[in-house]
Formats: sequence, structure tokens, C-alpha cells
Amino acid sequence: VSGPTAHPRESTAPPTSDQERSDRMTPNDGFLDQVTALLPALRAFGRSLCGDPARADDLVQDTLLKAWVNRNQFQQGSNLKAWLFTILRNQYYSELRHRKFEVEDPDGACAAQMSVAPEHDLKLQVRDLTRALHALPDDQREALVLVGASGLSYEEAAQVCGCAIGTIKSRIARGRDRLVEILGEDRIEQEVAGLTTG
Amino acid sequence: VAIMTDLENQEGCAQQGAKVPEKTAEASSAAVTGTEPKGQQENVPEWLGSRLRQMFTEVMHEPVPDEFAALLKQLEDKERR
Repeated sequence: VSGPTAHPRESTAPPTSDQERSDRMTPNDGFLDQVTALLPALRAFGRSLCGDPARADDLVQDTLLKAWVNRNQFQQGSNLKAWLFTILRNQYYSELRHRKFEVEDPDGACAAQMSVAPEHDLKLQVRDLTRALHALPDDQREALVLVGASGLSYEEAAQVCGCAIGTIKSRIARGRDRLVEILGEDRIEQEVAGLTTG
Repeated sequence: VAIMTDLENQEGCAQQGAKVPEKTAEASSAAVTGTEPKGQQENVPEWLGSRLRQMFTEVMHEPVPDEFAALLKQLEDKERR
């Protein structure tokens, strides 16, 4: 029972030596190792998209299968993290489209999250932020998570979302404003003040 | 000091462990970037960013369920056959 195989830190691109890259004899060994190293980030991204841990892990599993089937389309040396995030994101939205035909909010998860008022606790908790994040439109949430949390560059995030860099930037700006609105400017300022004064 | 309610334990996941070092990291990063009182407004994006990262890394620090390793192994074995 060991932890995640590789460093769980945010590394944009897993280090791949030129040797490994040119080693055509076992092209998939390195691929699987790199994918394994990115599992924690994939799970975090999946959860930030759908909010439900179990569903997020299903998304990650589907992503792994798709990535494996299409592994020849991945260009060695390009950003595997962004590539995997793209697959996961596509999977999420295609499932979402199918679910839309059934019910808007199948688990009532979104409604439940929003109905819990954060006022009971003056101090902002991670769960308050999670809740607020899921009240945002999908495009703003994913932009904030990709750049603000997962450590992708604007360019990589734009690549993942299939849009322009400027679009990512404006989504982040709008998402940030909306988060401040939801969480309460006063409370945030209190937190920020707490930070600056130590 | 570390008295947690059950609710906090349930919902906070791994946040207890990460709390103390991150607080100091945040504080020191805020100190580096300038802490003029009037600059508070500008620190809001930074604050949000650090909280977003915290939220993300909390999930990243969770142990990866065994089913993923099993799945990857399965794929690898299939390829070898």
C-alpha cells in the first residue's frame, strides 16, 4: 500500500528524457508511467468539473481507456497533462449532454450545494469555495481550475478548452468576480487582511 | 488545539494536515508580493488563487484508489499478449 507512484506536486510536463522518447522498442511503458504519475491531477480536475468524487473517478477511468486507445495520437514531448485533461473534459461534456435529456441536475447535487448558506461560519473554508465554484457556469469554472489550480498555462488551458487564450483570460476574470460576489467581498477582504498581517 | 467537529472531519478531508504549512506559505508569499494596506484589493486574486490550488492539491494528496492501478495493469497486459 504505497502512495501515488510519482511526485504529487504540480509539474506541468513529466520529465521525459530524449532517450526515452527515441526508444521505439517500448513506446508504451513510458506512456503508462507518465499517465500513472498524472492520476492525482486527473482526479482533482475531474472532481472540480463534476463535484462528485465517484463520478469523477468514473470520468478518470474512461479517460484512461480513451487515452490508451488513442495513445498513438499523442505526440511524445508535447504536454501529456493537457492532452489527458482534454480527453477528460470532452468525456465530461459529452456525458453532460446525454444527461441533459434526462434531468437537469440528476443528483440534486448542485441544488444541495447552493442551498447550504455559508453564513454559519465566518471563516471561509475550502468547502465554501468548492460550493461557490460549482455555482459558476462550466466555462468559468474550468478556466479558473485549469489555470488557477492545476497549474496549466493560459495557452495550455486554451488548448484543453478549444478556445482562444483571450477567452480563457476573460472567463477567469468573470469567474473570479462571480466567486467574490458569491463568497462575499467582506469575508474575502477579512481573509486577505488576515493573511497580510500574519 | 486541534479539536475538530465531526462535520469538519468529514467535509474537510485532508485539510487538517495541510493547514499549518500552507498558512505560513501563503503569509510569506503575501509578504513577498507587497503588503500595502491599500493593496488589499489586488490581493484578492492571489488569495483566490492560493485557495483554488489548495482545493486542488487536497484531492491530489488523496491516495489513488487501487482500481486505477488494476486498470492500467490490465491495459499493459493486454498489449503484451
